Amino acid sequence: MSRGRLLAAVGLVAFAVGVGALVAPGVFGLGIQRYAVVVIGLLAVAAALRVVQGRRRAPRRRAETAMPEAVPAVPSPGEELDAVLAAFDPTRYGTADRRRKQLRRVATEVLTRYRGDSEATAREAIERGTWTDDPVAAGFLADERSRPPLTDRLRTRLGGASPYWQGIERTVRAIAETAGVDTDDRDGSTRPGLDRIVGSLDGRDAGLDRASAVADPTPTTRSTGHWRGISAAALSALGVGVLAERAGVVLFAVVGIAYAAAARKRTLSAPTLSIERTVEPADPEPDEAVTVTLTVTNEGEGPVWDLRLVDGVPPALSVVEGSPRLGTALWPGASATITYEVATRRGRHEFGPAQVLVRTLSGSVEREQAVEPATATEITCVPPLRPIDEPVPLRRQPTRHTGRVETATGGEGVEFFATRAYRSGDPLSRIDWNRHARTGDLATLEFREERAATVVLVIDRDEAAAVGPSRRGQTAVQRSVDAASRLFTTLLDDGNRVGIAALGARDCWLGPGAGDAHRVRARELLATHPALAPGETPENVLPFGWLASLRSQLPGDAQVVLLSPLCSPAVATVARQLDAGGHLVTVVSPDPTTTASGAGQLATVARRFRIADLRAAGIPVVDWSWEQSLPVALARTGWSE
Amino acid sequence: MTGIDRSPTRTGSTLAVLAALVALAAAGATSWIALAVGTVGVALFLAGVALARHAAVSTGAAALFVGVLAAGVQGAPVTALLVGAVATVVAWDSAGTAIDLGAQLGRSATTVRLELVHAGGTALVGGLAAAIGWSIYQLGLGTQPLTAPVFLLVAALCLAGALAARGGG
Repeated sequence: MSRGRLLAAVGLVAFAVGVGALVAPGVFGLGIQRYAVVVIGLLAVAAALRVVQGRRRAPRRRAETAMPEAVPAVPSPGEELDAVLAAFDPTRYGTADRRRKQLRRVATEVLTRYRGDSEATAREAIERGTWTDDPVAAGFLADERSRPPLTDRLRTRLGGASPYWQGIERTVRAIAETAGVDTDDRDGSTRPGLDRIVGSLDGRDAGLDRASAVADPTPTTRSTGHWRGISAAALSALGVGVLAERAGVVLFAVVGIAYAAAARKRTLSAPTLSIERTVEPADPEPDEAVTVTLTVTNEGEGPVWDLRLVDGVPPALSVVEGSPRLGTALWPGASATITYEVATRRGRHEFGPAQVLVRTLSGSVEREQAVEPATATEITCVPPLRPIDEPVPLRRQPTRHTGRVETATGGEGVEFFATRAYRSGDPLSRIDWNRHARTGDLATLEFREERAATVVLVIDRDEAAAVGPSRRGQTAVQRSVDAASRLFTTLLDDGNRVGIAALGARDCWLGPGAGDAHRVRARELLATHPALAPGETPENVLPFGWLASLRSQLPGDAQVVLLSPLCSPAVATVARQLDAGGHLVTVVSPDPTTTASGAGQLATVARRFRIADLRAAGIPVVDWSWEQSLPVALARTGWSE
Repeated sequence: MTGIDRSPTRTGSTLAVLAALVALAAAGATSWIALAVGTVGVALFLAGVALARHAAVSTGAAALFVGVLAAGVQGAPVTALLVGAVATVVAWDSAGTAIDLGAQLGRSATTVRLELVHAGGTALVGGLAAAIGWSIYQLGLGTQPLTAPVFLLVAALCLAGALAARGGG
């Protein structure tokens, strides 16, 4: 028998005796002494204090609800300093003084690239500390650590930052300045001390509510502790009433006990709920508001006293009007409705189950479960394909089909290319008769051949590419997908055969083709393929296995236009390997970097290195800055090989 | 949209503050000590509701309850005391629910029905208990020898202990 049952039994007996004494005084003339009453009063007060103490130790519990209103925050490139540094020297990730060594390596590379130093000269400059004017940065990377000037040391101490982090911050800034990265617009300057420095290095935005989709919880029942401590009211009333000899005060105990008893109900049967969700319209244009109406009905026999519901808004959609949350009580057969509006984005968005919390009337027990409507709700937004007026930067390449790509081959066409000596069999219309009249020689005119190209647009949707300069803005992946849709349309209109692939996703493949059916398939793929879905964090893909399968799918003469922010070394390797494998590669690279944090500055430097390396390898790169539109970026690049 | 307002819900906060004021009035009408302690309690309680702090709400409610007890020791009428005690519990319960609801559903969600039903349930339990207590009092418990109340005390103590052992109270 548990302690609780024993106490309850003793209590019931005592209650019977007490009531008996009340109804028939004299029957229980036990002659209890005054001191016994005092002892009981003191015991009651002590017990009350214990209950209060217990309440303090055991806090209340409640289910955490999801945050489906907002879309997930977009990380910036260089979200973590260590990850950026690891791209320079992955082997040192995790060792004690790795940051210093990695930074030394970055500095060496910057000096060789931007100052034209040899590697040895750069190393020497770093060891001597002569590579920068900043004494803190110079000292941080130098082998023998020179002490920074007193003023700097004082400022470090007063700022509350350790010399180590101060050193890293100043070194990153010096490196970025050497590489010509703008380091002035820093946003972390208002935070104090260490927080500011670590925050400004990592670019982490503290205190931001990270949105998440409503999870599909397994039904759980938990005690909330909502009434924990109420028996202290009963016990203290008893104690005080007895000690003060006030029967009126003793009566409070009845109230306290009643609440304690009401909160005792520990069981909560699973409610029978059904929900119905409608969206209007279900196939909206981009940025159109969709009205969602959700009705929850109590299909059970008993009332649901306390129902809390959070709807499973698709992660990529944000709520712009109303609230997807409801708190209500439902009698059997009754229902409640909420209405809210979401802003749509490209893609197929499926609603998750609603997260439902049910409590007993007293609120002491809470049950968490997921409720799904009978039919799944979906919003599908397929944006129209729009071409651009600029020529798409394809590389010159001979193919068999006539089209508009200018080749470096003379032949039949409209634009003059060259003349050559007449060979028998050349058509009469192409003989340079002017020249024949002038000199008597026979020469044949050649025109620039224009041919169709076979192009595959490859979209980088790696985790490293799901970044952007603003927390609530687009990611580079979304930019790339939008760009792919415009490039696809333009290239197709120009008579090329165009295909689509996504980096690391084997099932996302549309072979090169032409025609209206092909256009429709591409539109559908770009809008709704899960690998390109907005709002989801893509997995970190190691693309080399995928690369082999892409190569086997690519037609031999296919060009590749790679759309990538070039935020990871692996993507640059993919571009180079494809190029080396005989496919002419062009990179269109949306620039998601931000120089607001130290790590962001380093990420900018790293990306510039990658672009320079690709260009040096003969791969053209369109550096598409975030503020520019795609046609402007293409025009600025001024297509030339 | 960067987030939602997760402060305590309006209905629950209003109910809680009203109930706390009723408790203060019931206890403070007859006792200066009750008025002083209760005022401090209500101030803490208000701060707890405004800042969504369970600890401040509980401490404030406890102070309010101590005020009601003090009024009882000083000989306030039993009816006022029972009203004060029930109102204190309703205030505490509504504030806790408002804070939890604010955290789970946010301020912009529709929760009025849930909160009214919940507060109604709490008030009903308190009202019934108070009525029983008042009836016992009218039966003449106050004039009986100590035997009956002491056994009732022990009974209540044990029952409360049993409930506490189960974690419900």
